Amino acid sequence: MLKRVLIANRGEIALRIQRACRELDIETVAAYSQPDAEALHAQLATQTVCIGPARAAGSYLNQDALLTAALATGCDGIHPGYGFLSENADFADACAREGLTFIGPSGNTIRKAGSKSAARDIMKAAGVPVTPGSDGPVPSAEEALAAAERVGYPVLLKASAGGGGRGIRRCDSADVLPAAYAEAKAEARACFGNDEMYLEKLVLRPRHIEFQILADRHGNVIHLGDRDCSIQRRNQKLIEEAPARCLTSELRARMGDAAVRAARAVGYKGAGTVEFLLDADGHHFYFMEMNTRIQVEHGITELITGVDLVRQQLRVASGLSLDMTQEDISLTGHAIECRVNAEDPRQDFRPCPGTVEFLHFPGGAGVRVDSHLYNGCTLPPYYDSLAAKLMVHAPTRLEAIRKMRRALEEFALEGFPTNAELSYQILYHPTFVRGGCTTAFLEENLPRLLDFNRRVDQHEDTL
Amino acid sequence: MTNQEIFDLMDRFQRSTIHAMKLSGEDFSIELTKAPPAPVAAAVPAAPAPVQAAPVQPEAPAPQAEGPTVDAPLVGTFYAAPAPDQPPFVAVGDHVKQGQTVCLIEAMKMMSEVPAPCDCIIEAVLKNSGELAAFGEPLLRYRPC
Repeated sequence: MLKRVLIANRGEIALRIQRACRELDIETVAAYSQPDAEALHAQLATQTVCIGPARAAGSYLNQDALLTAALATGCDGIHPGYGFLSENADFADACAREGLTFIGPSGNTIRKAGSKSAARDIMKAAGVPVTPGSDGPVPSAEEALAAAERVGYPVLLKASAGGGGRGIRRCDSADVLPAAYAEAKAEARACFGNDEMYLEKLVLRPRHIEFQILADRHGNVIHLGDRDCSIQRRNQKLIEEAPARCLTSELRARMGDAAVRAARAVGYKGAGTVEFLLDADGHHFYFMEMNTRIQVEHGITELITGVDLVRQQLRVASGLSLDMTQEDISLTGHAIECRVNAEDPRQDFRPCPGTVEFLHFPGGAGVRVDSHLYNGCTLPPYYDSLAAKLMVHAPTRLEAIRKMRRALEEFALEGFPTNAELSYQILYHPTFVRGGCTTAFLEENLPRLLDFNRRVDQHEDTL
Repeated sequence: MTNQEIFDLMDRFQRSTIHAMKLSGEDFSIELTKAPPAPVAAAVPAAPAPVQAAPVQPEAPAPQAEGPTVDAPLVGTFYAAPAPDQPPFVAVGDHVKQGQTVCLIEAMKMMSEVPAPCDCIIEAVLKNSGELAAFGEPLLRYRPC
């Protein structure tokens, strides 16, 4: 088993990893940036090392600093969390070179899964359905036009190295494509240092369904069911649930098989996610991408399966076999997660970092809160705006919705605005309650929800 | 215990408000003491010490003095001298010119020279050679001249 792990991340996920390590008697080293000196992950770690300034490039993305800190503190593993260096193949290789266990798949696997156009080819070869699109990258706007003619508009231009909604453009017709191509390419170069583009047909009003994968180093690969992450704004997930209500058990089994095939095709090790688009008819699904890291929304899978995914990551990284088989996995009840972000929906979701003046988390049976916040702490402006993940688990979906509503009612945070109220509204929306939300839901309904909010504000002002 | 752990312990101890501590393991024991006003750490390995305690650097005698410091520009191992068998770059009381190398920081087998920010007199060396310096940690205290 690993003895001491450097956590190359911050926020709630650093805390999540620390908790799993603590329960496995693994010591933790918190590598933190200067403004995170008072952060919870730095306070609860066995040891701490300040690795750089606020700017992520000098700290949480600084490979040399992280490796130096890990070696100097006698670590045998590095957990990258999500974001930052979690899907950086070179960092995974560098860890291996230094004799440190990178808690995630190998650099080669990350490379295969991370290049979106290469991943499409691998999935096609493995018999995993992919959306119609270009065969490999499109190096010029002309080739993109030709590929778009072939699959039919609308199409999506995507950066091979992309993620988080960056380097993606939608094109509804040929006349807007060349400009969108140049724009997306420039964005990809700026964000990922790699401007390779590919093209695929845009599936209209799809659902975002993803499967959780676990694989060990002994050839065992299982899936832990699915999550529906259709409530998104600009590709940023807001509410996730597990399992997806729209899947029949037959379709779930087929998609689960495809996810396991996808993981095997890239030689996956550890915890990962295979994302699919499910088209509006609810029958056809397409491989979208593979995330080679623990995900923000892993907690709802833990709630319905009873499997501690970070614990499994640490076990697999230590060379142990999975202590369960596919037959052992059963999905119990329904779980929902709301991401509470420090952002103001009334002001176009402007990030609102600040100091927590008062904080109260919901509790009670079936409620889980993962957060790095505490009374008096500061949520700095340099990193992402995730403030807390509220999760609930109940026997049925409707009970889970009711539980989440009351959890949000109990939740109190003063000091900066959050999107918690918006999530609360969505939990009352008839389309959501029916389970009919596609990825278009939030965009289509946001103006009405925000207008409703404004009127409530005005009403309260007049009282 | 590894050398690094002992260094870390000394570091922690020096920064703490306690004046003495004793730690015993299966085959070693360490005693750290410091005079209340002047924090001077001394590692005393017991007879069958499994590890070679690091040579304790002479500590700065004036902890109450305050002044500007040269801080670690990156996380890494602090070295006071260009090589183990050579004299340190600077000693307390030395006059150094702006840009003159005052110490080294090693990160991933790369040595970074840390320059003096201005013409100055070195007032204290705040870290022991071979210790891990965190980003922004004070390494030397100086007085501009």
